[in-house]
Amino acid sequence: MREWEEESFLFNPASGDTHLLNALSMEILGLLERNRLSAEAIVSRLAQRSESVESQLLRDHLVEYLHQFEAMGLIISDQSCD
Amino acid sequence: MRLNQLETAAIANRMHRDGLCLSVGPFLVTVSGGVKGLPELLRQMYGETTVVATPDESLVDFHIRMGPGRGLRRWWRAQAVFDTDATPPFTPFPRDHAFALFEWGLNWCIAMQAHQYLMFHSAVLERNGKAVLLPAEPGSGKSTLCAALMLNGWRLLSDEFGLYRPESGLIHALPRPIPLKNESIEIIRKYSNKAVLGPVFEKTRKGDVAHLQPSKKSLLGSDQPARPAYVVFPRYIAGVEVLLHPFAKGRAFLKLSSNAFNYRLQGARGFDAVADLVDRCDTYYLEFSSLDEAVERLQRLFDEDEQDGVGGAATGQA
Repeated sequence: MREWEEESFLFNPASGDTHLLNALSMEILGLLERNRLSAEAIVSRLAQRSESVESQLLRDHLVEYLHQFEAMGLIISDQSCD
Repeated sequence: MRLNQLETAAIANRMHRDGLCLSVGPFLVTVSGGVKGLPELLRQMYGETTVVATPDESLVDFHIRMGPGRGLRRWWRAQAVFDTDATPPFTPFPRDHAFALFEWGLNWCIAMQAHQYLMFHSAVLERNGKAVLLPAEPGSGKSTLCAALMLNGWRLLSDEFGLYRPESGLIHALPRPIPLKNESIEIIRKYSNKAVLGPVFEKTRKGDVAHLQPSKKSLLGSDQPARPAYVVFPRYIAGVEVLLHPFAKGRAFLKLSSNAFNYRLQGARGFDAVADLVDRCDTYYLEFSSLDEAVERLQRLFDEDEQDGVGGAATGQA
């Protein structure tokens, strides 16, 4: 992973793809790198980190983010493992 | 021995017999067969290139055969055929375009096989021991600017391939003729009386093409890699004042990674290599319409940084 200014670039060795990620994406992936978390738990931890984060707005977008990460092969959801 | 120390007939002889082996940058290239006019142009364009008299066959990177067309096409609307160890995607060319076919064919060989390098579609030149990469898309004026810099004494490492070795952080030289297209041919012809141009190959798939002979200094420096200090993304826009401004590193990473021919093939090695290159180099965007202004601006960048003691390192060894 490399960062310049506000942008982060992540190489996924499994797919060979390089991804350009924003700060929120990096926060979410950072949380999931260390823990297995539900969407609710992710929202709660992000809200704790920053008071400016509006939980409902975050909740609305999070599912979309998680689906995208899964499609990019960056995370595996529990449903996929069933 | 240098190629221009051989007479054209001797070059043709070698090509017919065992093949003519040239040391082109880090590659050994054997050219065999015979097409009328090709030995003469090889001699003119690759003059100071080293000829390897008795190459160890196992060390030859590319075996290229340039032959005449088959059947009637040996005589009627005579053709030149490019052939190599792999199956190249070239249909025969008119015989008098044989040199252009050889150049494109050699590009193809390198792009398909030289994966020890991360290969950028970029011109690379060196001044005061520091190299600049000029990565660009077709139509950006890259080759024309590259030609102008070389004619102003910069050492040409390559017009087409930035051969980057991630392990050493060096760019390897591959000095070969610069293919100028369409209007650029006359622009460079008028730009400098030092410009030695080959014949104009008309109506190729890239329009009219003429090759500019690399400078003696560039060909003699064929075995000297250089450390990149700058990445400059050039863009020709008619009528604009020259503008050189810093280019965000993240954007530079995106452009460079999509510019490299074999980035995806390299996997994590490619990702790290591009990122390291972006970290080590100053990155700029150059907008220009006047060659004189663009050359002057780049020379100033190198010279100012030289005085300030910033912007790169000395020429390296492989």
